[in-house]
Amino acid sequence: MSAIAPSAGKKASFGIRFKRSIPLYLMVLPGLVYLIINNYIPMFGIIIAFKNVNWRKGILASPWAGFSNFEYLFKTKDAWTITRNTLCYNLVFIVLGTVLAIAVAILLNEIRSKRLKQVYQTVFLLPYLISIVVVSYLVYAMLSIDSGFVNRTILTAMGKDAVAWYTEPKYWPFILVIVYLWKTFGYNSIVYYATLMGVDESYYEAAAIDGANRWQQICHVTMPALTPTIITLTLLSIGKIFYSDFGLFYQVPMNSGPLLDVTNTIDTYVYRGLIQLNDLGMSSAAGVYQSVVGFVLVLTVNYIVGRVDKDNALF
Amino acid sequence: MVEKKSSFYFFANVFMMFLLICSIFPFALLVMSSLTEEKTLIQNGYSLFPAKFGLDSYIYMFKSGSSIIRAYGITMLVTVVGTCSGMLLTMLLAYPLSRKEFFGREILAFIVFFTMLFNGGLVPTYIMYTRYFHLRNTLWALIIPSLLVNAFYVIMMRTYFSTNIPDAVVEAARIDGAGEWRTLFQIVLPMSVPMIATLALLIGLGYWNDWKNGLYYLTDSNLFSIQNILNRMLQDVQFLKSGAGGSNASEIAATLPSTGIKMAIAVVGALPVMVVYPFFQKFFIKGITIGAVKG
Amino acid sequence: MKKLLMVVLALSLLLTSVAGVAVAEDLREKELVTLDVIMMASAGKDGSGDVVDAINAYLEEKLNIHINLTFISYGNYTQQTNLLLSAGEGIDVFPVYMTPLTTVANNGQILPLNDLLAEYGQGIVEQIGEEFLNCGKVEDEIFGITTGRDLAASYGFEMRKDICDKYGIDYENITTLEQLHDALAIVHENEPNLVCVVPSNGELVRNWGWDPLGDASTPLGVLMDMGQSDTVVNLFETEFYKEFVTTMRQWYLEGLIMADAVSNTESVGTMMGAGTAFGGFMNLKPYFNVQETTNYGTEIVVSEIVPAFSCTSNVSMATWAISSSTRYPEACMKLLNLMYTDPVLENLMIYGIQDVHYVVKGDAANGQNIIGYPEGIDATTTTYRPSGGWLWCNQFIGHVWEGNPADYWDVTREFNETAIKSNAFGFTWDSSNVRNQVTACTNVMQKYHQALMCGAVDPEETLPKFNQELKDAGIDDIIADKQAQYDEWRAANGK
Repeated sequence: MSAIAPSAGKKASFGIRFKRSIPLYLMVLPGLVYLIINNYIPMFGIIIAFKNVNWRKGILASPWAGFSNFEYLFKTKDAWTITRNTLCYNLVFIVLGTVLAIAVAILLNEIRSKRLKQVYQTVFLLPYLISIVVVSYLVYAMLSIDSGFVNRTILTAMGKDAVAWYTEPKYWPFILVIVYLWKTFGYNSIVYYATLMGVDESYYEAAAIDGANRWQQICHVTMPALTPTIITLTLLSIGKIFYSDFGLFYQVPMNSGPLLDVTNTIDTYVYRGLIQLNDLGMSSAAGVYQSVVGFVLVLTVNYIVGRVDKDNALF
Repeated sequence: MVEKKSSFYFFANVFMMFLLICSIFPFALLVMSSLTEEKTLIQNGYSLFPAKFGLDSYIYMFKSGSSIIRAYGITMLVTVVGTCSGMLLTMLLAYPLSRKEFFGREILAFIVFFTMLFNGGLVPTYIMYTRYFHLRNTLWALIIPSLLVNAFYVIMMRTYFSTNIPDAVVEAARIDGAGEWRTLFQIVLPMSVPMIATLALLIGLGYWNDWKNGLYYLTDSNLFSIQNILNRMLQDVQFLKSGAGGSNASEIAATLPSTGIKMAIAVVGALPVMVVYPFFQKFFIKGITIGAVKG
Repeated sequence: MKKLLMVVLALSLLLTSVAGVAVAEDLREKELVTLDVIMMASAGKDGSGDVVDAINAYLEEKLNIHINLTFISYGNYTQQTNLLLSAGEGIDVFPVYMTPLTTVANNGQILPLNDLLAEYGQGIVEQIGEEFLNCGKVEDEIFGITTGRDLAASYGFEMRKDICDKYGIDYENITTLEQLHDALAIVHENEPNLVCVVPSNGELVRNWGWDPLGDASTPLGVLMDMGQSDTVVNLFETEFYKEFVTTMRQWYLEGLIMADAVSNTESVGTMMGAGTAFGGFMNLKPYFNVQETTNYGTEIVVSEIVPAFSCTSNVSMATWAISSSTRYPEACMKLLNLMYTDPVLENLMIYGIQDVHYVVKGDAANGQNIIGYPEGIDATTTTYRPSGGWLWCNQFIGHVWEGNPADYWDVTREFNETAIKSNAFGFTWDSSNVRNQVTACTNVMQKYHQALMCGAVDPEETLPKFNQELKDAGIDDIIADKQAQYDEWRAANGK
């Protein structure tokens, strides 16, 4: 793989390149050791998904279970629902989340007043700092049937009837998306904003001299600068596309039964199903399933990105 | 240059103001309900203008959790140590990955990225850290597992280095006789202040907000960070919902924090970040990177 | 020669163990053993250092054992004990609660106790009794020892006395849902702002007279009529269930049940205390009203509707067990035996140190004392909390907290013994044959069951859907499996 890598300047011989790289290897070492310990060694635990674990025998001596721990994820009618929910919500989150975060980052970049910038950034981070359990109370404060802000204030003012939010599934795809966006946009926009601050001011000056207006500057200077970050973040989200934020899908709808068709995701399904069984093999199987799908998708997307523009691929 | 005071700025500000209100309104509701007298809260629900104020929630919290001050101390220590060491490891890992001539960089990048997709799960990680590294009930447990190096931050940093530090700069440094370490610390890093500030902020937030390590590795509540204490209170409330049974459930219910306390908990957890965050912002001022290249 | 030596050795071992039962002094460990004891507690009360010192001084003299006592809060308990068990460190003796005993036993996380009980645990057998001990069995081995608490339950309604008195509600004679309905209707009419029936945390009733043959919150395949039938049936297809949820729907439409039923986050007690609610369905026990009155600061009364009955899950819901990773199984059992039989130790563990954490206020019927907080200390300022006594091994041998009658423990014991026993009392179902069906059915159940019970959805429309989805998820396999295991158990136990 590395032989194809575009080397800077003239092609140096293998030995020289290696020698030059020695200090770089030293730099990499501590972080690498950490990743090996923290991430790679525990990966042997993946075999738990294929075992019927009995702790008195130990993990290795426990009997093999083949793929039987995975069956429950596919066999039932719910399998389709939870897979659909997980995938669709994540796709919407990726698209809308990215658009909103970029918009905010660009606007932060455009705003002149330093004081305002500071206020915006600080306040936008607030939702990210609130624990999801507390967020669920806040949502409840909004949507509760009798005392909720929406029913009491907004709908009454509009002359409409109160809505029993927690038993009406049709509203929840929107509610969940809004809560997700609200909670994460501040954090994500900081990431994009940081990238923008690295953009050399002279690019904008040059564009302005060429007669580009604000909008054109954004299209031709800002967006290209953001592309690598967008791709990195999106690829990462795709890797996590089979995961869902448990708090968002379990706590925020208050675990309300009638909403399950639109709020049940792989994570909440596994949690609900295993409360009683508490089966380590089955919960590990779910994790392995989520990782493998994410991994395959990332490799595919990265390959496509690489075909379009080699520099933007991750590896 | 003539500033076009166009409709663009108008809409930009309207949009931002809208987001501002969206972000601040629930938080204001949170603060106000934590300051509402308990009975009023249950009777009238949440309100921005409560009929009756009360500091009971905060008094209860500081009385029952005598350890809150210590927990703040632990959180700060862990956040500072964790952020500094995490930052160092991240930079050291990211810089070589950004160097095109670094032999084996693609494989390494893949090794780093792969950790974001696969993990061995909690139980194997827990067994390794407790049995072989003896982290259980030590402060290290709050610093080391899962938070120290995040592959995502490494890749962000790498991307920043490779898009914002021109090869010419590094090349020039080498011709001047600077080694890789000097190049990194004296030339590349000073040019990357906004990114360093951002990552420090994100890593710091990660440490500040983390309660999972404490939940997994600590049973000694003397070592709890502030988030562990807050989360423990919230989890106790959730516990009843998850199906604790029998006549004894109501005895447990009687000992659990009430609505106002839950809200006070959230305020106590978030407020310090609000205080610290503006200090970070001075690093976010644009233009700090310019100089070295243009010179 | 060698053989002879072996025989002598074996004989002498046998002798010492026999002697161990006879002479209490010999129970002491040869070398000081330290055991990790895990216990559940509410957050923020960890001033336990002095108490542990006192316990250790006492235990050292009796058994030459020290303990490390770790309190884990409710919400973290399942997760943390699970991790401790899987790493096999820092846990020797602990109560299994919230996770079904069968699961923990099948995972190999705890030790089978038959032999240990026979050798070192005779005091436990005497205190708890064979019948209740057998509920901690998984197949033929006892894995968990239930605690001394209410081991049966009656079901009924708890409500505020002030409102009852105001409208002349004769709560003592309410014994059916119809009578309760009439009373609630009066309250609703006169106090429109009061929530009549609060489903605590979204759950209206957990049980209404069926034996769930497993965990009470997942009644998949039950014995009806308080377990007096021997046929496992699908609860959700019974006329009984249909009638119940239809009645509740009626109540809900009449405005008797809280509108926010499914998403409610408050408990009925909190709302009664705040004066916003009238009452709620409850799982009752002797003197339950006394407990509730002290907890919520308003006088509470109860009406019993389903009489007391007991099934395995009432007993096996909270049991003490020994971690399979322990290095000292015998010492663990000796310690447990003492915890179940020694009032001095049990009082220390439950209530703390006399005159520091509590003071004597009178005499209790079991020869112990009635106790209460010392001057100037209350529930929020005490450093050792006297709650959760029911999860400690055996509160029956210890003090009685003030406010409760002097014969509190005797009445509770009698309650346990006189309650109607399910036919399947002592039977424990092992779910491992139908794991996939259980996960699927649990999910389906969560979708419909609570909402139906609260009356928040229309049973006409929902119940058929519910049952269809349960069928698709394989509830019939679960029922068949339960029936087969139950029949086998009946044959083996001659019932």
